Amino acid sequence: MFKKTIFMLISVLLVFILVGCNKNKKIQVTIGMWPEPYLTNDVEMFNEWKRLFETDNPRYEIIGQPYTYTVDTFFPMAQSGTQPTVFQTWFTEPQKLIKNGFVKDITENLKALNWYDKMDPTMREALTSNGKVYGVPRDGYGLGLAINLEVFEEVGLIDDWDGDGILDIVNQDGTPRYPTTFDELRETSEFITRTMKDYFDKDVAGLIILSSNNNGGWQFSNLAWNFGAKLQVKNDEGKWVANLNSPEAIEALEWVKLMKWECECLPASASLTYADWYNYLGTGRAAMSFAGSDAISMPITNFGMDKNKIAFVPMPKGPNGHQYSLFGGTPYMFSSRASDEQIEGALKFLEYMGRSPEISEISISSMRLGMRTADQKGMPILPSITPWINEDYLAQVDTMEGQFVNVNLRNFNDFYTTLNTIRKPEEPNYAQEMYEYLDSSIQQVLTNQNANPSALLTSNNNSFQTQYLNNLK
Amino acid sequence: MKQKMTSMIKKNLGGWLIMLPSIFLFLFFIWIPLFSNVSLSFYDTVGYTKETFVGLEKYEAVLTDPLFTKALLNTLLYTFWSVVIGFLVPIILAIILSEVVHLKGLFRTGIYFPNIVPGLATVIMWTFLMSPESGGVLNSLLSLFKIEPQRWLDSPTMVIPLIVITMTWKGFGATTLIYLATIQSIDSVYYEAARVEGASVWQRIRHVTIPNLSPLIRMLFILQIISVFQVFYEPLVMTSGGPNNASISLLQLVHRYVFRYGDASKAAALGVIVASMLFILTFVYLKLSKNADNT
Amino acid sequence: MKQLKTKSYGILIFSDYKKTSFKILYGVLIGILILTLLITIFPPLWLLLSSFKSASELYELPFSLFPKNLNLGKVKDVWSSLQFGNYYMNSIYVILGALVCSILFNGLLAYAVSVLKPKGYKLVYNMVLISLMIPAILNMGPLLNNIVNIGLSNSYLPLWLVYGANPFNFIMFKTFFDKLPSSLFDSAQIDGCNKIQLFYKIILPLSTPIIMVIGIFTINAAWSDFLLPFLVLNIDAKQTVMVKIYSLYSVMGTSMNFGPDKLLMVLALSVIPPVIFFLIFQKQITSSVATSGMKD
Repeated sequence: MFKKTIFMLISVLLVFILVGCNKNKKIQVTIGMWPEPYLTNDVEMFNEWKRLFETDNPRYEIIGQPYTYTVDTFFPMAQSGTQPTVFQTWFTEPQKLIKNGFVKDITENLKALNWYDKMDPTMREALTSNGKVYGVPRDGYGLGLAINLEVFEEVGLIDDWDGDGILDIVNQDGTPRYPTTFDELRETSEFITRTMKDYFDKDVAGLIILSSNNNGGWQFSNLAWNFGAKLQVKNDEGKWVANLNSPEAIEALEWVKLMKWECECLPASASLTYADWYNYLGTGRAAMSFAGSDAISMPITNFGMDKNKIAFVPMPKGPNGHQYSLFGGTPYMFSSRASDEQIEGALKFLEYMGRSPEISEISISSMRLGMRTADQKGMPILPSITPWINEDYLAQVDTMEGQFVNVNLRNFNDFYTTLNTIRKPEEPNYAQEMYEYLDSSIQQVLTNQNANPSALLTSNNNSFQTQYLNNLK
Repeated sequence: MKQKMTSMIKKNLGGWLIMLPSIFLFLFFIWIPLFSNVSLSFYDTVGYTKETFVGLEKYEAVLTDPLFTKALLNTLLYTFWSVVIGFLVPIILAIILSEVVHLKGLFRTGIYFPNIVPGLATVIMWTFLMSPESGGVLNSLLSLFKIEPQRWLDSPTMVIPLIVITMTWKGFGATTLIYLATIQSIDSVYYEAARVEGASVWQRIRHVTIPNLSPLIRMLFILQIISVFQVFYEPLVMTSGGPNNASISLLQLVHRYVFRYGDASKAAALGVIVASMLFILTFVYLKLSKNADNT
Repeated sequence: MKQLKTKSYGILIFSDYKKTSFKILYGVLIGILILTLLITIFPPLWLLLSSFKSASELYELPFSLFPKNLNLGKVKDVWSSLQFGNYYMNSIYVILGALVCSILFNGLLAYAVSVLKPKGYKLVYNMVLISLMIPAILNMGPLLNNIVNIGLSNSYLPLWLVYGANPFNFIMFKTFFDKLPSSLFDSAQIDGCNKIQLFYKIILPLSTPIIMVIGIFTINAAWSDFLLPFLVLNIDAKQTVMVKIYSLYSVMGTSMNFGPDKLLMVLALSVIPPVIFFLIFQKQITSSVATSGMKD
């Protein structure tokens, strides 16, 4: 009796497997940038893209597998072989992922599609190793200074001179009312924190300087550049040498220390991550923060800040007139385990998301859907930093943004007009690892009034050199 | 002779067959990974594939990493603070609890309560409570007593004791109940005798309670040291090792090597070092507990 | 005072309490316990109440323990938008498998080592004892690699079976079996029971208390565990409550629309089931902890 049942079970199972095999011949493409289920607007949008794609390409099946890249989670996932066919990461990551064999060379596909030459060359460079390209850029960002206009108004720094109901961060003649040098930044921050304390009895940080999860080092490298530092240099023999402790970098760290202990205008916490800047800014507990231009909408979508109460301005100039905007971005990369057919499908799907250089009926309608969804969520529609440079694409993006723009661009223009001249890609080697060392220097300066920036940077410089840069072949 | 063999096989085969599945699980989940760590640690690796034999190079890389020294020192500090903060509390509470007659059930339940709060929830919750903001919970409570806001986990000197406090909060209930059970099993005849001799309360504790507890105290003391030596997810979640690596632990460093930088063999080398330290501690424990059993 | 009259055991007995100084001492002891109680209860209580607060309310001064309004809509909102029911079901699924493995495999091994003692059992016993001291995280990398290589990523099977290799549970079983009278087994063997029959006819019925204890510990551990599950379960639809919370927590800086207020809510949702479980079984739990001599 028992044996019979088992036998029957097994045969039923076999039949299922065989039938299942015949039925499921579609090529599956898993999409890592698929939104989390609770982002209902976005899920709807992706489902629409999926529907259109699958109708036009019946061989394929699109599967959403939401994955947000973090340095701590990617390796375990890749190791378990379950990384999606295509996923998003940051421009600091490609070299590491390529070296470990987790991502696929797509040079031939790009050339066949004629996308190779349309790609922004700086971004392509970041995705290239040994002449092979491993990804497709989604968009770029530059670091700048995000400002909570309401706080600025409360302390009397700005007003709404044109009466359009939106506070103005620039004067009628276009001159800035925001800090443009590090000295001004310090004065403004101090003024805001003091005034808020003395007149309103509120704890408001003048400025947010991040210090944790490698975000501190990431932003600090921009500060150091503006003070005139170069963090990695090639020596005479052509070897990369860490240069975290140049006098300029030390000066930058001294400035951070000054902001904390003399100006007393930073938040109490010394372990701030990227989530914190928009938490502080969005809830009015900070006036300014360094941030990436691709994250301007964060305080709005997460903390219900009014999109007209935020401004985004260029990074301040350093004492010797250096001014850079750290330029990074988000690429799509492809699992090394994916088949050629899957890669083709994934690349094709990018067109249906409006993320390819192709200008077609479908890509135009996808871009439009993307902007409409963003607008519905109350996000500001701002000029994007485009990953493609072909004329028809750029023209299309221009028209679209003209149609959809929903904020007063005057509060953002200075950033976008200067970006192209001052943008500078991240340091070339082991950027995340370098950020971690810088993080700890910053944390030390923020927690210890007597910390010695020079000694800290020197010891971290040595560790970074011996632990990482010396490994470069 | 042959009969003897078959009877021996017959006698043992059943037992071995019963053990086999479980042994297989122990091998798969514990021993095989341990041995692959040992062998990985001598190679250069890409993912988990061995590339070239490098001898002790990885061990050298670990030992010269300033983070290793830092993590080792921190781990010792965790152990030290856990003894200072977490060791006496359960003993004292157990003695008090054994003496009290009112609301005994409530106290016992309440003291054990934190043990059932999931570890991840515990550490995130305490991170919130110890926010360095002036609006943070503990800082707000302090301000009631006109005490300045503290920096809590942001302070390099306070961070380890505070993480230890969180761990103690989570775990002290179970230890207290274990002590309590032993205290309650002490025959009241001993106390009676002490009372007759006119022993003070302190003397009764010192000469009756403590001696009866001491084998247990010794055992739990070493178990505690071994378990705190393995501190891992608390600093990972609460501070990710900061500020300035002031709270990074040895096992967290293993995790960082393997899952953040994907260096499986360096992680393996550090793993072997940590495991050796734990084996030594365990050996000491087993020796001591044997001695305790014999007395 | 009345209750103290019956106290005739322990360090202090009723006759001691006739002295005023001891009465004061007793008051102090009660005071210490009440304070301890406050320390153990306050944080979870704060979590529960704060989970109703909005993001900006969380950092508002002056501090208030209570949210401005008990916004039950937020529970519903978070629950349904995150599809939390799904993660609850997954957690229960993991717990059930863990429960079976934990009792079956550790129990059988302990039975063999404690009762049957086949030749070479000491080797096995020592092997298990030593594995008590190997931190799980140390092995996580190679273990994950093996799990993946045999095709078990995103499967619950490794998460169940790992509870079958639990040295703590094994030792508890063994300690318990060691105390059973051996005459019992001898008579059973004379009655012609084979080894498996001996286990489930004689030993299992006698072992209800220890099975309860291990069951309770396993349920709590399987609900709380997030390290191995986080590595094995990459697909959202398969994740357990704790895995989901950990991944939400780790992407909080980069992901959208998930702020600290929602985090507190999901944390509260993860604490409530064990609290209910504890309230139902508190007698068994507190007494079993004491007798087992084990932590966690």
